[in-house]
Amino acid sequence: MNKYTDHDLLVMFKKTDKRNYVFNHIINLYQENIYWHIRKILISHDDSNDVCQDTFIKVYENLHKFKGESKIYTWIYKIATNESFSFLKKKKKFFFESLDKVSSGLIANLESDKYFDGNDAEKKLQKALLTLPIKQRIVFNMKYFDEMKYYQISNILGTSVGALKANYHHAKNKLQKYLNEN
Amino acid sequence: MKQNTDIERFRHKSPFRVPENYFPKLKRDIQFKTENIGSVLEFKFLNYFNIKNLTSALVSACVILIIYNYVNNSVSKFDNLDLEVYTQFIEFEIENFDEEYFLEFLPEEEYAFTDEIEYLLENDIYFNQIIN
Repeated sequence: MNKYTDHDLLVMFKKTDKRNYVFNHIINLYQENIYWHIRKILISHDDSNDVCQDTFIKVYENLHKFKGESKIYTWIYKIATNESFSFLKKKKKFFFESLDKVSSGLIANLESDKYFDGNDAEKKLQKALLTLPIKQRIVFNMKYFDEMKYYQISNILGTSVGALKANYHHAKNKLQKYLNEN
Repeated sequence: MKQNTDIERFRHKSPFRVPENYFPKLKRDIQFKTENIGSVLEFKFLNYFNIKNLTSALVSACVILIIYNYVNNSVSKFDNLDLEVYTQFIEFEIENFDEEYFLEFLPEEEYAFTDEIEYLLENDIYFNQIIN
């Protein structure tokens, strides 16, 4: 696959005949990472599939407006995070539920997930993760599973590195406590 | 005795998986959806400024038309009402016209009766009778 810079991709995308080529290139580069990012937030494969598709449709619709002030992958991660938040908010509104109840819904999704490959201990860790506030959960996922650097997470979530470190630290302590007590 | 679980002991790998051949299918699904919006997007992109200008012109025209109609209607309503009241007033005035009251406003020399006319009036003699 050709290696293009973000700038090359943006310039090419503005040419009508190259638009689909560039977009396919972007899908190939980022679809898996974006899907997994969403999946760790929403747990259910079907929900993640829908949100992932919506994310890339938004990318397609808005890439011509993207000014290139950040990396394309950072921008796509941002869209995916916002789309996942919106999805959870809609779910919460639809069922008139508090965010805690949405978490219990996600735990139910986890229990019935036929695409879960982990052992009991890993399932316990996932359940523990679902008890965390959503932002701490996302920060933990990005740092622990995706092994992203704090500055990368900071660019995506728009939170300072210091606050992210604190979030990760609190999340880790809470998870450790949950795992020891349950 | 319960053993403490160290969080770092887990493999740092997501325990979830996807159905077989999921990612090629995901790519096809996204492509299919974007193909449908592609032409719409192109239209939007090419005509962005035209549509923007046309929309603002149309909105301005609508606003001007609405204001014109509103002002015009209010004025004509006012005129109709004004005319109606004025006509009623005039009709009332004609019906209740008091000549003596009117005469009070004329200069003295114009309505001062001559002695002869006063005499005729006092004796109920019609002015026409004398002429005939």
